[in-house]
Amino acid sequence: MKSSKRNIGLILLLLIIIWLLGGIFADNDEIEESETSEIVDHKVDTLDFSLHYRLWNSDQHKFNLFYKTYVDTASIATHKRTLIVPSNVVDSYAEYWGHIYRQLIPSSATSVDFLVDSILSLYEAKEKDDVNRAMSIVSFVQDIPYTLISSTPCDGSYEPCQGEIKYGILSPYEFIHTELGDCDTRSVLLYKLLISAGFGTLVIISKEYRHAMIAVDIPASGEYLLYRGRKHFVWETTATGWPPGVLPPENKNLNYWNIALAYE
Amino acid sequence: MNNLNLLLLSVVQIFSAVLTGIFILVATYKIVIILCRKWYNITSINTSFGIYIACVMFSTGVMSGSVIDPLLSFFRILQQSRSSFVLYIEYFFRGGFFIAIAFISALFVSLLGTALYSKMTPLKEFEEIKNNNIGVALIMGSIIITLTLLCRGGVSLLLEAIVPYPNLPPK
Repeated sequence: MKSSKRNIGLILLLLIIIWLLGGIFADNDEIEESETSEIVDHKVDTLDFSLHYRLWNSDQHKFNLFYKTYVDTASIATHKRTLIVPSNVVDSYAEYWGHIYRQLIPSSATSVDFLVDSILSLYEAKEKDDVNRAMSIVSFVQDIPYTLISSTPCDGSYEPCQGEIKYGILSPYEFIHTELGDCDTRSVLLYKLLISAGFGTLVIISKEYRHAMIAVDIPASGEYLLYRGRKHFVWETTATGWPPGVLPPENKNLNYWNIALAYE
Repeated sequence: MNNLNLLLLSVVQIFSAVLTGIFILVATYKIVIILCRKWYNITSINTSFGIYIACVMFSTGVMSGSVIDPLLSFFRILQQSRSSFVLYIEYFFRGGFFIAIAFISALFVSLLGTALYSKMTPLKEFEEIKNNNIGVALIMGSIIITLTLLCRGGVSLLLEAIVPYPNLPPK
């Protein structure tokens, strides 16, 4: 009787260990593909505008959104980007890029604020949770597939790639029009969207890691930077599934992260 | 709603830290007693042996502490895709697995380090500990603590490697 109970206990323990190991070593890519097989994002381009249909997940909710962007507005944004002048009086890497990012912030002509209203209206009125509101906006951008934006011609080391883009960054309107963007492109767009939604947001960059992210003033936990005495939790923007406050293990040293763009 | 999530996270963290801390320390104590009785015929706890056990327990605690950051990152990532009940059950079992890795690493470092040191020196350290030689116990304790502090980063990295972080595009 005792030995059979012990055997049952051992079998249960073995099953738990197998389940744990199976979960830990499961291929995340396979899991994501089976969950997203029904998701179909559309983009229809015409001579004058592009129609975008995006479907994404945020905190166990599914969102879908139609929006429209205009070719001439995108051209204005592109032209403005080419006129950007970097500062010749800079003390640091972060200040240099902060100066460029600030000039990318859209004017009323190339505003992206309509996206904030559209995304937040997808929430039901009772969902006033700050973190979930921010997450709905951030996850919209995280869901857009990553494209390397390079100031030099693409050399084939990473695809997809968009080369010969001045400063290796697209302005927020260009990003939502083309749906092509890398870490700093996404971070600048999210800075604008989250500021418009009422969240204190920073763009943070690292010279050592050659990477950019946002940091947001929300009631969360985890890794953060202090700005004006408030905790701004770091948030990875280039892939889905990253919550606030979690730094990728290869970018974990907070001493290497500096504020490039901050709100007034 | 957010404050409730944070409150739950903090309660889970405190509760799991206290529970696992007690479990780890009791398990360390018992394992060291059993092994030292079996290998070195140490049957009574004198001051020297007490110092030695205390250092092993301290190093186990320090090593297990390296679990906290990866475990919290793991919890935050799981929170994105799991309902609360499933989340806490999964966190409990997987957290236990993380802690088991840290615990086994700590014991391995402590016991292997002292066994190797004992073999490399002409002095029979455990005989001296049995004879209540406090100086030798302090030296062995220093070795254990130093080795633990040196290995702590590696164990933390090992645990980070098995946290199921979402994929990132290559740079």
